[in-house]
Amino acid sequence: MTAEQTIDGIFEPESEDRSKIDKKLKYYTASQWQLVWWRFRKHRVAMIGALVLITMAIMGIFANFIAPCKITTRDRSYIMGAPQMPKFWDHKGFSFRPFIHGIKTKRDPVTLRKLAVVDPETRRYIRFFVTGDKYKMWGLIPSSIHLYGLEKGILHLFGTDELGRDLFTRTLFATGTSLSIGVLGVLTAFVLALIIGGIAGYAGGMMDYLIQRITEIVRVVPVIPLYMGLAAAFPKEWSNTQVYFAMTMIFGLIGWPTLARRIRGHLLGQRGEDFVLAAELSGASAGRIITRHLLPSFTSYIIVDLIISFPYMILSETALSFIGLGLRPPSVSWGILLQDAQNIRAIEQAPWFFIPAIFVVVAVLAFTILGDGLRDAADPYSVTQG
Amino acid sequence: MKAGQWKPGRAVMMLAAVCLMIAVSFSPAWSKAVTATNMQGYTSQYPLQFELDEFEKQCKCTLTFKENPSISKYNEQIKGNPSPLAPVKDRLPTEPLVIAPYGEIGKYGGVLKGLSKGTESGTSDLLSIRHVNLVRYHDDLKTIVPNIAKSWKWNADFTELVITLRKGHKWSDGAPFTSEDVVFWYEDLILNKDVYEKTPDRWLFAGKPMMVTAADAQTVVFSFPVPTPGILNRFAVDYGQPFQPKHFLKKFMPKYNPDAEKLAKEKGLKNAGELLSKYYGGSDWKDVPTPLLSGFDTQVVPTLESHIVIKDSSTGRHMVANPYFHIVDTAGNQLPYLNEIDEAYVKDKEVQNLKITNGEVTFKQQAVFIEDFPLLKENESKGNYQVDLAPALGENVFYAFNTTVKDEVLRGIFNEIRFRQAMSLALNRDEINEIVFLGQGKPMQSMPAEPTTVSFVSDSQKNAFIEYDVDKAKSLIAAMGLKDKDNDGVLERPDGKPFIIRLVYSNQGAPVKLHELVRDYWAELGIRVDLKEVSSDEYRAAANNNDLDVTTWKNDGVSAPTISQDFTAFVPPFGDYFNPGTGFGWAAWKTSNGSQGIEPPAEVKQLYSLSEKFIQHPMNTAESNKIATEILDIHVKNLWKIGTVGEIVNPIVHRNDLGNFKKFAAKTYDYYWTYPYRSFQWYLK
Amino acid sequence: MLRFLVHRIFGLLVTMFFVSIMVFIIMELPPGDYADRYAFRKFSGTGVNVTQGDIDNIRHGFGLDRPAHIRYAQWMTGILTRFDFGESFAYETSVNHVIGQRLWMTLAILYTTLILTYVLSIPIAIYAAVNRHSSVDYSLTVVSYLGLALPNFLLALVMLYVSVTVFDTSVGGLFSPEYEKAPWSLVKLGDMLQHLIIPAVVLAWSATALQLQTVRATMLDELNKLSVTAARARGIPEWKVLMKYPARLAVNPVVSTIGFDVNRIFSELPIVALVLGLPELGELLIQSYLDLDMYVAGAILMMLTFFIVIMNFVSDVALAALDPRIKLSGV
Repeated sequence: MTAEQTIDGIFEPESEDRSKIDKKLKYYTASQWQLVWWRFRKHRVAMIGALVLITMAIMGIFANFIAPCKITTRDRSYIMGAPQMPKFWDHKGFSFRPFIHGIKTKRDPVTLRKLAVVDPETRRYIRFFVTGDKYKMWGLIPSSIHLYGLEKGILHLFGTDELGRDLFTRTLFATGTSLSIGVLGVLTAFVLALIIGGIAGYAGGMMDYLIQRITEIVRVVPVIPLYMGLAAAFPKEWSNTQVYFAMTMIFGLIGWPTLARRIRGHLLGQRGEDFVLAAELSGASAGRIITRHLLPSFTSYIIVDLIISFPYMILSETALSFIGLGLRPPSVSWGILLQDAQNIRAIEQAPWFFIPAIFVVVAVLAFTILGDGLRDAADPYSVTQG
Repeated sequence: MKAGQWKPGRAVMMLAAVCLMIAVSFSPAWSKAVTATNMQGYTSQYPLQFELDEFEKQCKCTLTFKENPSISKYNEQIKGNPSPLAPVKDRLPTEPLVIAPYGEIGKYGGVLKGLSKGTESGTSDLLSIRHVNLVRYHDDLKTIVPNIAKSWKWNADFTELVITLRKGHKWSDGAPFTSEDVVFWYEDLILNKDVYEKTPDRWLFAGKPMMVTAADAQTVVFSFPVPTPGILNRFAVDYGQPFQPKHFLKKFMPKYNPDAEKLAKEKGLKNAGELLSKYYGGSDWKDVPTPLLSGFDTQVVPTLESHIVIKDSSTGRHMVANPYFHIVDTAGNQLPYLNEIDEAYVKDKEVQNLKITNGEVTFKQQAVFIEDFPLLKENESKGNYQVDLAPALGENVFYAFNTTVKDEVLRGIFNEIRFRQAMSLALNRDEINEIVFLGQGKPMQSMPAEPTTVSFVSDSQKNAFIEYDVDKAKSLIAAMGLKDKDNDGVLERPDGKPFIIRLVYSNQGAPVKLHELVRDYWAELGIRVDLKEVSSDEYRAAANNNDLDVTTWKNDGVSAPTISQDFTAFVPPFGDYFNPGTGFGWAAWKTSNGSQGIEPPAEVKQLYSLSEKFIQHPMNTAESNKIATEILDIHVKNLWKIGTVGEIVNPIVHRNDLGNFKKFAAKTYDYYWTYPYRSFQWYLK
Repeated sequence: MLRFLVHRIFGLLVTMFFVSIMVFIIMELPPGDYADRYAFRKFSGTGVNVTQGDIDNIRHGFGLDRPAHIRYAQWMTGILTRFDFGESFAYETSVNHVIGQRLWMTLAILYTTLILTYVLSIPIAIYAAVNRHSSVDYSLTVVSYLGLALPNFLLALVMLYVSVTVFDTSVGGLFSPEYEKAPWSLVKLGDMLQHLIIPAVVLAWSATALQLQTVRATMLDELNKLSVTAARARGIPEWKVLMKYPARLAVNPVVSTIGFDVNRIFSELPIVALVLGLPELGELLIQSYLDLDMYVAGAILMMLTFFIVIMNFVSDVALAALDPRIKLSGV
């Protein structure tokens, strides 16, 4: 959206006066959210970002169904195997049903490396909605239907890891885990920021001073040792689920200061406005004033801030897993998968281990672009000024 | 040469041989040197090495000694050394050791570049390159040969060992090395309560100290309270050297120096004990921080090793050739050939891999694992190095259930033999071998004795419970009454809680992939395994504190030379502090004479008495083998340590320009890494 | 101004006090202490059976059996009166000595990264803001965010690999082997800078993404101001207009967050250093923290946080001196 855009610029160019007036009327009576949405819709790049994220979320949520097997299933015939591309034709001709060639692995006698030998004579066809490994969807619905599968063996779209596990499957599950850690982490940070920033911004004075100091302290302590300290303090007995929730709590605990500062800033700015005074005079409680009057006036900003803090949560997770203090197998997250890629062997011999890195990069970029788009859309000046 | 060949040829050969013999006997100076590839008919009592008179008798010559042309430069860098240097013949012992190099007479010079992980981490690789001890294993790993000691003699019942040192042998600062230095090491350091609050058990014999006496300047007598035939093996493979420079260290001891306390105060220390520990750090390990690291002193303790430390920082160490080293080659050149050793600390394995493939490492074997072999092999020509595989003796990764675990329900389960059998049967060792060890090992049960180095291990012992039989494993578990009552895929323990085992591991102990596989195998039986990776230090502290459900590491210290003199692997906790197994409560019961810990079953008590008897007989005798078989039977029956894959191999990397390098018969700490392969005669081409 | 300064200094002291407590809490967080590590390390291979009594003795010897608040007080007293950060258990020497060797390397990396970040981000941001929504603007944004999105440890390893295999540099560390022990010279400095490139680029890349966005956003705000329009109307050349007001003001937030930039870079430094094998403090912090060598970890944390707090203070005062509006708006 360019700075030159006018109010009319939001609408599709239409010649008829009547409908123009209708639209104008619609614009002036539209709620804040509708306005944001209209503006956002125009922001093509941000829309793509949103779509990417929605796709990723779906991949994570339906991982059990989309994946051809379980995350722990080992394909002993295809260890550290490269990604397999489904084909429609080979030297024998064309086939409507996609297939891959049969594969055998053998060991190089000198380097001892496992090499895949393709057998061009055998075809293994891909089928859809096949029965495979049993699973429980969201831990509730038992099923064994998978989106796709081979007649014999497993199709490895992203190749396999050093134990012969399907990397596509693992990436799907990791996407779910990492995104959900981000969501929960951001929410925790948000709640904390709301409370702390809210009190500081509304109460002001001594309280504000004290909270400001605390915020500053949290902000000056380097996050890595803080993560490490908190993660090391986890009891050894904790299961992976407990560690998972504890990690989201930590990300929240460390992520709040930036948000709290923003909220405080907004509140301080709005506190002196007449409508607050009016509410105070009519006897509204502080909590009500904050939640009913002050917060809604800058909800859009808060959402933008939330979206922008996602990438940090995701990157923190990968960093923590890298030091070995994050989630543990058999759980998978982007961080855990990238740990496997963290060696020269992977760079030289198994570059497909880096596929999860593409997911991280795409997710972080998508969140940032989405945040930018939302900021522009939520900024009333972006249309009125020019 | 077959009979009936063309006669003239034979005649020429004979003539050549005669000429050669004449040449050798009359003009040693310009004859070809005696090397392992061409011994020129020389014979010696010990393979590839001579005493000076033994050599000179055969060459009918007097060996003239030559030195490294830059040795005075290095002498200048060794703080505290007298300068200028005395001539080389006065620095060498009057009875130096003469060795035949593997390939050729080397040339002086060069820096050997090696890697460790930290000051006291992953250092023994490089320590073993400069290491010396009284004796040494030859590269066949069977013959013990002299080194610092000139010769030795046992009495009939192996209670008295007489060691003869070399006349005129000198410390790296030129001070004479005598039998007093051996007595000093034992009497004034090992038995000194200020240094070791508790005397190290390894230097006690049946709980009693030995007697170390100096009969004369070159004769040391070790007298043991019980027969101790294996002690020579210890001197051959041990990191610790049974000698320390008395002339240097006594300055810091009130017993010898009345001003020691005053000296300590002057240096700002509490007492003389603290002063001494700056130089002798309460351990015979040679990688304890030197005074150079803290900047306390510029001088380090003199040594008999081939190289001596001149720089010690948090990023690495630097060593230079010892101008008083006691070995010469058959041409009379004083060893070592290598001017310097540079040790850089690299913690990250990938940086290590890159350094190797980039040709920045002259030699590396410790902490190079088979998983990286394909990568290293493929980059050989790029980095101008060669990577070989050598047997990693005894390195069978084990899983040991803690039979004295604090959780009493788990303890009950872990103490059932049926349970341990089931857990062993559930492991798919062929798959482990294929995935983790690149198919190079052999499925095998865990043994407290490395089968290829001893003569008493039977195939049935090696193969006990190693078949992959999930059904049998399940039926054993079911017979114990463990069931999955709530049908969630995880068994319930007798107290109703889900059966969860915490598997805490360090990546130094075994490849991480292996633990993931094992978790999957045991999950098949309905046992949930929670993996947690920690640092090696944390793992060891937790294990020795009896805090772990399962310990896992690769076996070590189980080869013949170690078990012949040290039965740590036979009795609880079936390993040392570095690498503990199981039965910590039993061990505590034993050391406290029954006042603490958990009373072990009769079979374990029997192990103690059998083991004590075992080390009193020389290895490979009928009595020794009979006792060993009994010990092994108890181990195999109980499966305290569940083994995975044995006879595995591991990579050794050396640059192509490293001369006189002989391929290792084994890559193992049990023979102290490079010590048998005579690194003092390596040189850079 | 004096009142403002007094007020700020008081705030600085309060912050420092709380920060020191926070650091000590972080030091106390991991369960266990160095005593048993030390016991097993010292007795390993000697065959001695370590008992709980031995460990307790060692703990007493280290003074680790005293209550936390007393240890805090003693430690702080040592730092404040003698600038003595205590003893390193693992290195068996003073913490000052252990840290001293690496402090300069750390500062070299931090400052190289900071300079690189500012040199890259500020001109690019101004350019991007002026050419808003152009393809250059978008591609610069994407490239800068790529640095933020790629996990640092992966980026560091890949860059190291590329530099070694393609550009044939030596692996890791701060010096080539031939300069490692050489005395300081211009050539050695050059060699060090060459080795600083990878860590600085990895760290600066992600830091640039943030700076770029901040400066770009401020620039956009300032460009819309009437003063700019007026200046343009008066026919002042465009670059003069930019330099006169918007660009100068857009750098303000950069100056005010310099302390936090240091923090952010240092937070990412350990992981990069771990991968690249750099002998600096971040890597030592992680290592000593995992090894429970707490006074080393604590000293690094303390120095760093104080450094950041002081940087923040200086930038606050500097901004207040430059822009009188700020001191009016309070702390």
